[in-house]
Amino acid sequence: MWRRGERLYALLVFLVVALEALALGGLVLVFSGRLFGLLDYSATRQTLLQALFLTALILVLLSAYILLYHAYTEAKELRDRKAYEDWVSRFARALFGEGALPLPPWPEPALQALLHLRETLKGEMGEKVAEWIRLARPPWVFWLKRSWTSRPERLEALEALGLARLPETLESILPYLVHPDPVLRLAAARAAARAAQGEGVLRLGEALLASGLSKGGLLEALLLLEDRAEPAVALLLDKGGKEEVWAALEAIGRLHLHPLAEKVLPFLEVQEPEIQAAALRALARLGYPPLGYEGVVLGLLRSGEEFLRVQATRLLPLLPPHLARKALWRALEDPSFYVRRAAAEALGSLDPGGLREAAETHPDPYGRAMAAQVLREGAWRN
Amino acid sequence: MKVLLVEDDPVVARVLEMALSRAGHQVYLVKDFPTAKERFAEAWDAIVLDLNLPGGFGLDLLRHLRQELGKDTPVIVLSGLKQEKTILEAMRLGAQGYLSKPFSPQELVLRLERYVAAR
Amino acid sequence: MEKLAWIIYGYQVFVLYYFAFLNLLYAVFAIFGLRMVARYARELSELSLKDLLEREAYLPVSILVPTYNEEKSITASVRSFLALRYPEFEVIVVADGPRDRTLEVLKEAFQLVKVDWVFRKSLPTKPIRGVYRSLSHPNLLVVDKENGGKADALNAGLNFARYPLFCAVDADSLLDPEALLRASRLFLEDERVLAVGGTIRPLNGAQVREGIVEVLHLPRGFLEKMQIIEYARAFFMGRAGWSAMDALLIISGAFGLFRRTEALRVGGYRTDTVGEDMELVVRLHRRAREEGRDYRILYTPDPICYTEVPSDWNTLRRQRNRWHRGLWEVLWLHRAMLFNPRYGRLGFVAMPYFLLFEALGPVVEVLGYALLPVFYLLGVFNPEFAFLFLLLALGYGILLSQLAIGMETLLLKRYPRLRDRMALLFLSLLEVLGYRQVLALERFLATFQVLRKRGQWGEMRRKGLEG
Repeated sequence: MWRRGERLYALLVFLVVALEALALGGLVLVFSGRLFGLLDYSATRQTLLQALFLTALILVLLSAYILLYHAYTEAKELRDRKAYEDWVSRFARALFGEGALPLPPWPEPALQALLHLRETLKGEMGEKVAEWIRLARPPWVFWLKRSWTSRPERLEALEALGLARLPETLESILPYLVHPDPVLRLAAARAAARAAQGEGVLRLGEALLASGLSKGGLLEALLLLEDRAEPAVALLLDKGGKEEVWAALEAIGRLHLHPLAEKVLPFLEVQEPEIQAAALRALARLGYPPLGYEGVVLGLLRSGEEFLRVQATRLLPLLPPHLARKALWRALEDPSFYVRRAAAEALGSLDPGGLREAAETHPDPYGRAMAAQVLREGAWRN
Repeated sequence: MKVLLVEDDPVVARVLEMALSRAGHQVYLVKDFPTAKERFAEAWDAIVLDLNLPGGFGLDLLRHLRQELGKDTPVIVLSGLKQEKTILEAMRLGAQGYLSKPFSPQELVLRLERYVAAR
Repeated sequence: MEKLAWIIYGYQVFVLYYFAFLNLLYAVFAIFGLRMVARYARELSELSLKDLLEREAYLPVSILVPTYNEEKSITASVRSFLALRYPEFEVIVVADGPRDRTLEVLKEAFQLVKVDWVFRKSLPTKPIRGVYRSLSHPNLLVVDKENGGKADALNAGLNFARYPLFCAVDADSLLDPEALLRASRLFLEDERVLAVGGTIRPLNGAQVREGIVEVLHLPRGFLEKMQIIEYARAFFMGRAGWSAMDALLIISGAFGLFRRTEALRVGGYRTDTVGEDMELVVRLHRRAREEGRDYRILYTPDPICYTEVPSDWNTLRRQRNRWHRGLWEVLWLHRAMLFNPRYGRLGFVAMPYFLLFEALGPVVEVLGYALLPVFYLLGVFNPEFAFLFLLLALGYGILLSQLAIGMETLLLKRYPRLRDRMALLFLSLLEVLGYRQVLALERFLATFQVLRKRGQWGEMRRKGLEG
């Protein structure tokens, strides 16, 4: 991570580069001058010496800075680490009722210790740590509100608030979801997802709709909500654009949000392959049969997009068995390797006897080979 | 009872050490995969196992304990990983319990005592 | 006679222009690189990495390990790959027709069983002799094939890979446990990313336990110490700068992460060049630009790969010779890009830079030294002047190294002892007094070898896949 003293180093580098450019520029001019007979030897020699002297000076300066920085930060980090460990012990003991805590304000390592504890503990102890964090009156919300805070400070504040998970801080985080800087938006989304509770989740959902985050970022935020995610996911599903809907569908599958399973079904018919694939994946993960949409799923098996056919194939075991078996049998003939593979695996999980049959009697040679392969793998695994 | 704590996160380790020793147990801490593997050879009443360890994955340690060493020491897995397949794999390998972070230390201690008593 | 003196002087001034321009470019790199490395360091937090690991928002990776005659080290290497911290990945070891017991060693160590494996032959390769799965590690696949060279082995691996991302490594690469996490994250955050390169650092002198680098110490050998400085320069100044300018042409074969579909689309690795790693990246750029797509190819300083660097002159010189020939081959293969507006910054800045300063640099440098006795003989030799100029040139060389060491200090600080830091700074002085010149000579020779051999590419029967 970026540490103190780097601004100084950056300044130093600029200085070095500027001096170097100056020296070189001077040299080029003087030498060219000499080439065209405008200057004499002593002038060039002098410039050369000056450039040399400057370079030597720069080298010494740079080396000195590097060594000093190294020595300083090494000592400082050692001290900070020791302080952090001390504070962790202190707070841990206080949690178990031994030892009293000194009054705040507490130094930086103490805050780090508290955040780490808050991340680790839940329940009664977790709440106690939250109280202490509040007691410490950390500067994070203040930093976020202030207009002249630097970017790294904002990022640090957002991350700290995310770890602290204090519901009242959500207000300060949400505005950053529409910040022009995409890195801050993502950091804010993640922090807000950790901090949001109850009704705050809906407000986060609204903010996510307005944020314009990429679907990866949206998904990350939803996943961080874990078992609180349902209201936000439902909102994104209802009101969101393509990215939001995709993220919501993925989240439903990964978080196993069964109450929302029904809402996934209509998305099977949307004319957007990415969305349809996400819907298929979600249903497969949930193990939710696509009642009433069997025809749609079977239709997707004929889609031009390979990944769509693969996902549809994977969902087939959730269809009524006779439909599924027929469709899987046909899918083993698919020109795509990955579809055939998915079909063989799905058939294996649905009806191992059927897979054996396919390995022997399926009309398509590639289909037979794939079925045999999957059978062998299954046997080898056991 | 003698409890082996396999955990590389110092905060979690500290809290667990305190919780367990306050409940009257002897706690030994190891912080990485290879050391844990060595210590497994000794006799323990219970083991608390983290999964993301330097040098290897905790479930491999569990497999080693159950299959190669053949021990049935009660094991609680404590990990930040929440994927269903990890949890299932841990239970399949013979862990008695799986707790994810954030966790409650008292809950962990109680569960551990219950598993040991049930032997 | 005066005319001659003038011409010779003119040449010296030309060398000065060349040198000045080159250093100015380096300066630009230093700034760009610093900015980029700093921003990256601020943006990527440990917490987000942990989240990646703990939740399921990641992209699975296929690690491709081409290997030839490596019976002694292959087990440890494969074990270290299998121990990487990543939620879902597979390791595909492609044994390129080894003459020693590499395959047998693998069979024993990982309980391999031969399987009939159905796979998709997307890329043409030498015939596959056998496919093996491991009973102890379900995510390990070993492919035995006829010898065809590293690129061919990688292509074979690609045919077997099943995940959306693949990571090309050398068999002796030692990846930082979190390297995959850090690198793959970029693919998730931005869908335009096609390829990511990380930092390569010399492993020599490091304390390694169970496949993890615990502490970095300076190695004993002089050559190895030199290479530490070189690599720091190459990555923190070079790659960082180019990546910041959106014109990164090289991703090391020792560690690079790519989107599998993209690599397949451009036809995989070329087997007729020794610079196959750079060649693939250039081709990815080229195709994307020709198609007018918005894309990114990045270097990030964070994911680290350690590799053993040569500790004796012969191996080192052979390596640099090969690298330089590879560079020329790639420049030649893609010469259509030079100064071609269709390729934007690549055509106008990156490719010309690599041609004029990287590829031709050693020529200018060696000629510069070689002409000194000529000047002396012609009586136009001014010792004081030559000496001063030489000092200046060397001074700038040292400056660059120190900037790179500074960057490493600030960013990674993997050499924790102050003593080592001082040693590195001092050694950058020594680098320009001989080490650099010997390698420049080697690269100069490589240039002529390439010029002679143009038309006879074949280097497939290389003696071992040296990293």
